[in-house]
Amino acid sequence: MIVFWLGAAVLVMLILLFLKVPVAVSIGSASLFFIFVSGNIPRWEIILPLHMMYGVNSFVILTIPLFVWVGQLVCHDKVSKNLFAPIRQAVGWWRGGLMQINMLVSGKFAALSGSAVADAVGPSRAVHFMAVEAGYNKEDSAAATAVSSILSIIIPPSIPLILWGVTAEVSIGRLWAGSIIPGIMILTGFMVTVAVLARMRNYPKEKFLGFRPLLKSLYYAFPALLAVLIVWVGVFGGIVTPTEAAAVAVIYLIIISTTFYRISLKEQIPMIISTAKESASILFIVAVANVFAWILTFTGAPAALVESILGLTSDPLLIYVTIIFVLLILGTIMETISLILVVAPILSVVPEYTGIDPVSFGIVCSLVIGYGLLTPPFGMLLFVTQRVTGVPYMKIVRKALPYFITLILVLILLVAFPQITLYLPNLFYGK
Amino acid sequence: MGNIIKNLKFYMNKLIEFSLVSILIGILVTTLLQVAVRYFRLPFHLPWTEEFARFLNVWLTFLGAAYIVGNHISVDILEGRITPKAMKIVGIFSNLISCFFFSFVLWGALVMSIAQTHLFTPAMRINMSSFYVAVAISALVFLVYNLKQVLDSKRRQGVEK
Repeated sequence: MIVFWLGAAVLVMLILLFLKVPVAVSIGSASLFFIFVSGNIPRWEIILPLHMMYGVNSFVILTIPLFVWVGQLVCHDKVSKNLFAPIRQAVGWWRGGLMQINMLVSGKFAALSGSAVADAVGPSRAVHFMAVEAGYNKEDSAAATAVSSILSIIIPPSIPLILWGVTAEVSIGRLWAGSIIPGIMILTGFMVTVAVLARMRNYPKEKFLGFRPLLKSLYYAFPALLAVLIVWVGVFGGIVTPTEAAAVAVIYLIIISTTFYRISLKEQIPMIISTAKESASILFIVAVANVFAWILTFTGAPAALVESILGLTSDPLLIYVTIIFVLLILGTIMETISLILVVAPILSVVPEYTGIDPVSFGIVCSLVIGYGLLTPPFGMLLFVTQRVTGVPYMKIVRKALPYFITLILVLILLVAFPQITLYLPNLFYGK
Repeated sequence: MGNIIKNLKFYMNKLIEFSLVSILIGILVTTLLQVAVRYFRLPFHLPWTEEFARFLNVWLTFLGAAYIVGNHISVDILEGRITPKAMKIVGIFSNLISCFFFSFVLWGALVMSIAQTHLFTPAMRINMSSFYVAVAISALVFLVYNLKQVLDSKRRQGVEK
């Protein structure tokens, strides 16, 4: 019975989302609905504020405002310009060089901030207009912008993986470490795709400027890149927690941007205000989703759901594939962060029942949810790219198809060989 | 009269912006203090840093959410696919749902902030009800905003007729 009501609550949520009710309110109202229909929940009137407050009264969740802040700092014109330059000089002279840049820049900013949509709106967009000016096909470049933004979900520090870790109770350090190899696989796959397309469609290339300017541009990019090193070494070396690493990266970038990149302290204030706005919109969903997560745990609905699925089939692979398909469909409708917050508490019991490793499972699920951002009819990255580039939606989809080969291939590999995602976490943190 | 309200709104916004900036700087500084004390093995320890940073995060969430009221993430599937008149009805419905939800939140938050006035956090002795006050303020702002949206769209409809 409880499984039925869970399904009804999810349906209520989807209907409300469809009717343009804000995401947080949709999740909250569905939770209220669930509270009423499942009955027997003591003191239900205080559940909403109690668990909303506890959802954000968490030291791990503090990583979100801090990494959003890091993202604001590196996306400032004066910093991002210097981050582009060495990549442009290093690969600009390849055929299709500017599209390779789009991939690499997304990879680099993914390593710095961790929000897919922010990447599509910010740095990737800048490269897109650079490419169009240089004579690239507008549609090809827009497709590259959309697909490359997905790297932010998989290359640490990734905000979706933080949220998966918090809600499914998996170590965030392990999730981040495990997502490095898949991230490199996807980036390489995208770059190979661009190289092949460049030959077939005959993309333009730029002149190689020589090693001296390359070294010079590296010199200007180096201080900002050091922030990535701080986060990676700090977290993977077990020196600091992700939250502390983020705080160190923020103060480091503030110092570097005022001294080395000459951004005045006055310009820092608007960046802090945008950080507050952007983090509040995420944190508020986190808060409300915690109510939903609590009710699920309290009623034991996820376990009941998994048990009823196990009654139908006990093949772990079949269950895994079914989950992936469901997530893919949901991922096209809902946006990454809210979807992770809603499904992670439900799915967190799956590894226990099926013997799938929780770290590998978390990475695969978050990645699949991210794929939804690129899947029509409602993929959000496609809408965002359409808005910032002006290229019609369906044209982006058609041009993006070749990149899906990589995405699907990586997904199959990750499901078939969980060792890919488990090697680095075991290396860094032991078994 | 309109001018006074406009000015009041301007200063309210400035005040909230100032608070949000202070909160974020506070989170940064306390977290860094925690790293410094542990990493440099300073001769004292600060048991309150984590607690205070979490307290600030609660206020950042709810004050920030109130500040961006009306700009929260929602799904734009229907936009441009149905008539403006239908869109208006959907808008009213959406706002009513929000009113319904936030009145529950407000009620619960008030109950909690009154019930927990005698409870304090372990390290810093922060009054527990001050956590729930943030939730209540946020819910109140949302409630007022959504009610105003509903009333405004009703009024606009009247003018059209």
